[in-house]
Amino acid sequence: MHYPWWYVPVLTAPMLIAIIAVLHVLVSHYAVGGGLFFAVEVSHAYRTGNREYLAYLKRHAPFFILLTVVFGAITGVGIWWTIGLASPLATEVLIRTFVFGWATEWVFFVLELTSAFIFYYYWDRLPPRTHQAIAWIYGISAWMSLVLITGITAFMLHPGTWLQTPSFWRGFFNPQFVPQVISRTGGAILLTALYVYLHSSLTLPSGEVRNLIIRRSTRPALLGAVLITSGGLAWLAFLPPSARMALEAAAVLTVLMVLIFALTIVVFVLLYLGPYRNPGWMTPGFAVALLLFGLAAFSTGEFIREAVRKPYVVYGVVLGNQILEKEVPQFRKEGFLQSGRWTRQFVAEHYPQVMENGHILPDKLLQLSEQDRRLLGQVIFMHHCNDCHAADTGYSAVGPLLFSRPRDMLVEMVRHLNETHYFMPPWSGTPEEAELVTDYLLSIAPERPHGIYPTLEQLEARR
Amino acid sequence: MIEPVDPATLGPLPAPFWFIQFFKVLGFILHMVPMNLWFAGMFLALVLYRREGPARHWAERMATLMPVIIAFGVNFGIVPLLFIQVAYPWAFYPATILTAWFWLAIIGLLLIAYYGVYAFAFGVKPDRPMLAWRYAAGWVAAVFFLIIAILLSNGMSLMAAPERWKSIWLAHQLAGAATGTGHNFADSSLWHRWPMVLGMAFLTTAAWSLIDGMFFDPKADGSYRLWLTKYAFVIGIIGAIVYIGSGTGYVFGSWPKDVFHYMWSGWRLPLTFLTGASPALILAVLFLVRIKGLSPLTAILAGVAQLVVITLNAISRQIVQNIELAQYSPVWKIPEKPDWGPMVLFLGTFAGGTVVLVWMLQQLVRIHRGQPSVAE
Repeated sequence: MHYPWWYVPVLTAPMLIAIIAVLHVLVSHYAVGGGLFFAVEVSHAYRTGNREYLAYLKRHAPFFILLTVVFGAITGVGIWWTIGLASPLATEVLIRTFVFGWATEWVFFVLELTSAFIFYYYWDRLPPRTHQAIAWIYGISAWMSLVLITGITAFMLHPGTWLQTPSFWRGFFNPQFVPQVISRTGGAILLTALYVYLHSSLTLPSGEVRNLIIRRSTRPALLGAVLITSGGLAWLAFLPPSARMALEAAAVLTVLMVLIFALTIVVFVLLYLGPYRNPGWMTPGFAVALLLFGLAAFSTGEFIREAVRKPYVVYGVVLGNQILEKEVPQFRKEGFLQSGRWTRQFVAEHYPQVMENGHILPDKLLQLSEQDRRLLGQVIFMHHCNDCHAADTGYSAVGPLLFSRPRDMLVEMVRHLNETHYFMPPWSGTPEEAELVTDYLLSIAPERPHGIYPTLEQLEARR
Repeated sequence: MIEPVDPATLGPLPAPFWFIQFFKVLGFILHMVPMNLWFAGMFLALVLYRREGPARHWAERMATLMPVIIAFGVNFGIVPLLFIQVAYPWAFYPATILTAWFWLAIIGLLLIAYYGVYAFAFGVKPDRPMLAWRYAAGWVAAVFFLIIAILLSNGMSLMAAPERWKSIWLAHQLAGAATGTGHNFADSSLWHRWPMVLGMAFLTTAAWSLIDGMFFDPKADGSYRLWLTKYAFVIGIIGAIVYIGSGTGYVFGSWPKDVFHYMWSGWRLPLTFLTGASPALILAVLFLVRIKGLSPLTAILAGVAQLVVITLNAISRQIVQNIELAQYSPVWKIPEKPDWGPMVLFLGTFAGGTVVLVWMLQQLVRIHRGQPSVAE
């Protein structure tokens, strides 16, 4: 552990990333798709001289800006904030590797912002051709920012040949890059159509303009759906083998995969039956339902995308518990408490009797009182396990997961974490530390509930 | 103190350290200008909005520009944040994790404040009074900006004070894990840095008001510009007093001895002196404007003078930060392994982006001058 670990009760710190990231992507994809939408539709409206349509687009612009420039931008910064707090080592690796990717993305952000404000505030004042050019600058800049950030997030799932020869380009053009760019582009287009349906159904009376908007948004929406599907299939095909296996082995992911499949079909069917075949169906209620299904599908997809990386944050490089994969042998040899900068300081501060010349002596750990062993076990739990597990209550809490297991079984399980569940990180401590963490786990495991099948010992005792 | 980090054990920097410092300082300067404007400008706009005449006009003008100012301020803040994490992850992450809840609160407060600004700005109508809730939302935003500045200073001042980490961590931990409830409010440097930014914000707002009134505000007439010269001078004096007062406290009251000796010796001596004395430059220009009146030349002089103040501050701050962090890990000893390809990609995009940006701004200038756009 290179950095202090942030303890967030009940939720666990990384779940804060998930919450903020999901909220962000639901808007940031609209920021990208909306840019393309405005560029295409403003050009169309000018070309056909449709003033009513232009007036609608002008009304849509502040809604777009208030959502994307404020909520989208601030939650985007929020992701940065939380990944640094909850996943500092992985963030450090990513930033060192891709600093100029991010810096390049920032240039596009500046162009996005400037063009967005000019596009909106100078509406009716800019000559049509300039207005359209500004819209295209926004649309292209927004899409480029999607491409750049996708190269980095896709790297986290599958660094490809970067693992053998680290370089920016190898990392950026990783096996997941193209599939994710395709699916995210599709997602941006589809999600934008859903936002447009909602906004137009709420702000326009039914009539020609509304029908025109619905008609013109549906073909891109269907194109987006096709891109999502093809990108999603490619995503599946280019997953690292262990991630693909995680999809089958983890029940929750299997359920979520079924859910995303079902939600996607629902969105397709509603798109086809509603706006495509029967534009008149597009009432606010229908539009809200469509958007909610779309957001649900999107959120599920993001959750799966994050979850299949386990036990890594950056595949093959940084484990979920903020240890570099290459450090594991050293941690196992020298001890988890000893190898972590902050855990070592904690022991030195509270238990100097177990240290000699700045080193923790493993056998002395087991000579501590029961209470002290539990506390040190909790220290190990916090830094080794709390990234995925709450303690006794909360997200994937270990207490209820491990209740009633005999001590020997628990010790063995701790020592063979990744063999018991391959999507867990390897145990990165000494055998003595496994004893300590078991002491702690036993102290938080609840009683065996009534009505559950008895333990083997209980059964034998009955005989 | 927490064990220092051996720089040799850190991963290599992807660019020369001077390059990282350059963009960190440049980004900070870019961020400071809009950040100063929302920090002081929002507060002043709310106060002056209740008045009549030019004061009211200034408030309306500032309010309507505020959403754009914040957007760019947040955007430009990305650059120093990015390069801080490249250069000093080993200092940035511990400091922010120890104060995590305060650090994270910045995002929530900023989101609310930003919408508050929009509520206020969209409520500005020259011909009718603003709805009470919009005005109240503006005050919420202004107060939140002040709190955000404290929370940011809290994290940044702790980053530069590794000797404080251990005591804060031990006081705010559960089984060694940081609870994120630590803070650096007891550090005197925080309470000097925060008002320094506030003083600087008043100075920047003064300079900006002159530039806006001279070049951008289409409704600015002679009497408004005359009022501006008085107004800018008054808020400039307030800003300079606050900046110099808190800056003196910061340098003589909270700099550690080694930092103090380093900054007051060798080639840093004139820099330190100029940084401290630089508000005199902008004050002198504001005085000149007050005497000679607002003209394109004096407005530009005010802008340049304030840019000098901000730049000197940013450069000195960078040097002090390096020295403060040297006790934990000498930053200049971190190995470098420049990644030239992506660096060229960035610089090329930066240059190309600048061209596009200039083209867009050129279109606006043409509109304001009543000329046809280049695209026509």
